Amino acid sequence: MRFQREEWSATLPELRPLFARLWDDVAIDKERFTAECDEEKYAKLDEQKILHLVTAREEAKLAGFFLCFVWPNAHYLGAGEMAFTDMYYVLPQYRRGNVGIRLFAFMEATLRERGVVKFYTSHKKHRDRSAMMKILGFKATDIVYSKVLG
Amino acid sequence: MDQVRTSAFLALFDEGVTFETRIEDLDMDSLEFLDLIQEISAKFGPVPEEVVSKVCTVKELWDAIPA
Repeated sequence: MRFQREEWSATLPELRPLFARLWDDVAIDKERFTAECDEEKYAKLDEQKILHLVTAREEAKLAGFFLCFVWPNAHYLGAGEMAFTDMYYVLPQYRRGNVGIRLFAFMEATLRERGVVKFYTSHKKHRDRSAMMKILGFKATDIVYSKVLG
Repeated sequence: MDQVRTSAFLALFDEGVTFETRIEDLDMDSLEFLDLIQEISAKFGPVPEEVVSKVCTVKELWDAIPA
């Protein structure tokens, strides 16, 4: 398995099928929200260099990806850029050994190279990955609640 | 290498796994892999945390365990 940074626009055609797989795999409130990526909005974020994409590939085949938004946190003027997880996914057939752990570690390494000072990430409550996060050196700091309003 | 120790180490894996086997080819997901790391640490000594996200082969994992 190889891990690398890739450009959003170049990888998007390969990412599209994985968005639906991700939604099918972990999304909640599926009766209300279905996966449909707003590609125009993502393209605008890409133009502003906010998107930070890393991929996992087995030979040439896309096995998984990790996408973060990188921008300054307005709570902390002058503190530097911070990374906020947008989504990550590894195809089930590639979820072996430490592939997921290496994907996270690679994302962290590339964020460090970029000068990012803090990395926020999460996992679904029904997909507890706290053991993995702990070994990667993360600490649990928030519990996120959601409620469908309309 | 201590044959008894290395045999006991390899016995923790499925049949057919050798030192050359890639970690990503093991028939286990990340959580099962972390359980295995805990088991290895209990039996053979602590595996440094930073190793878990870097090792690519079973041999590299073995080499990371303090003798």
